[in-house]
Amino acid sequence: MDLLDNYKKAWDNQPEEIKKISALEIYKMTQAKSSSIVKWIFVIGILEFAFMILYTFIFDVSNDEKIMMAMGIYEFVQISQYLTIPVLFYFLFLFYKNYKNISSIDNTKKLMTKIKKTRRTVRNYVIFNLLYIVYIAAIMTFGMVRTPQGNFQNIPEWLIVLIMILVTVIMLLLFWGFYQLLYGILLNKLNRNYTELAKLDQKE
Amino acid sequence: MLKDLESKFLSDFEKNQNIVHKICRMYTTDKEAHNDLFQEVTIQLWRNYEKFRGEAKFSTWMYRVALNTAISLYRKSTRRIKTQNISDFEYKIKADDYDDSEELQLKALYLAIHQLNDIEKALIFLYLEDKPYKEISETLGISNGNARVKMNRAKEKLKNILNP
Repeated sequence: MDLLDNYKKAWDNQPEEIKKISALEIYKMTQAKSSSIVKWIFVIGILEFAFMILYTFIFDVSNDEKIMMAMGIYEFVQISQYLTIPVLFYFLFLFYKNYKNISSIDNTKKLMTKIKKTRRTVRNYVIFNLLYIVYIAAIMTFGMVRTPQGNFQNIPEWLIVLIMILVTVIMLLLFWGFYQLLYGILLNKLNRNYTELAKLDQKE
Repeated sequence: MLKDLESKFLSDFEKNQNIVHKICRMYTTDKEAHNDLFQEVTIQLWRNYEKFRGEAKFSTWMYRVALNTAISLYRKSTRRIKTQNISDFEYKIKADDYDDSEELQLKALYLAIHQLNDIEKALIFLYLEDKPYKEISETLGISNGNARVKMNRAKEKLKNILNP
């Protein structure tokens, strides 16, 4: 007899759980709030969208606006900002569609793929925003070199460019680091299991 | 209508709840986490019950949703299980004063299963529950052939843990 057959017998004969959950308790559980990974991705995703939309209201950007006006790039920046609105709605639509598509009735692989796809939508939106930061920084640098403002008036052009590049890179790194940490913690287990399942499905 | 659906769900679940308990016991190591996972599985089952429509057996459907919840949706990592305290296990046996060898085997089996990764656990669980390869491959979303190969590998790993 195979070693596992012995254990399998023990498994087959295992007694039912002593503390059976009653129908009433099951009912109470169905009314509880889910704390699944999907729920977290949804909440964090919405917060990210909200932050990206609201940050101009949270932070005082009136001073930046004045500087931009003085440099003659204000209108250009404003038009660019309006153009990002349809992009935001496109991402929001995609995010919601992918989220709604997640179903625990799917097979394990499909379910994990859908969860990852939903998260990727938010990630792509964040990447879009980071690229937008680079774009705005480039315009600002151009404006600063052409008509230096404030402290930048007495320094050489190459130093202005260098400072702007450094500030942008630091901002990008901070954003990206925070982002990786957040999703790293949240999706560590899912990613591990996904890799494991993908390995399982590789042809021998 | 909703009331009927609800009472049907509750009675189906109550009868089959042992499946969920077994999965919780495999994927968690303490009572609190067990209850936590049990609750999340319950939520997922109820949310999807309307879509179930009796196309498969309730229990078959339950296997899939419960395993999916344990593998993909339940947030807490089960990795720390690897460093589980063996003395805890021994203590429990002594405390409960088990003398039944089958009970001991079962505990040893669960302890060994805790050392497998989440996907191997699912494979072994479906094997222990006598599920055909077709169902295993459909549940996990892998090919039938791969399910066979990897099942044998998971079984070998389990044997090595049980009998090093």
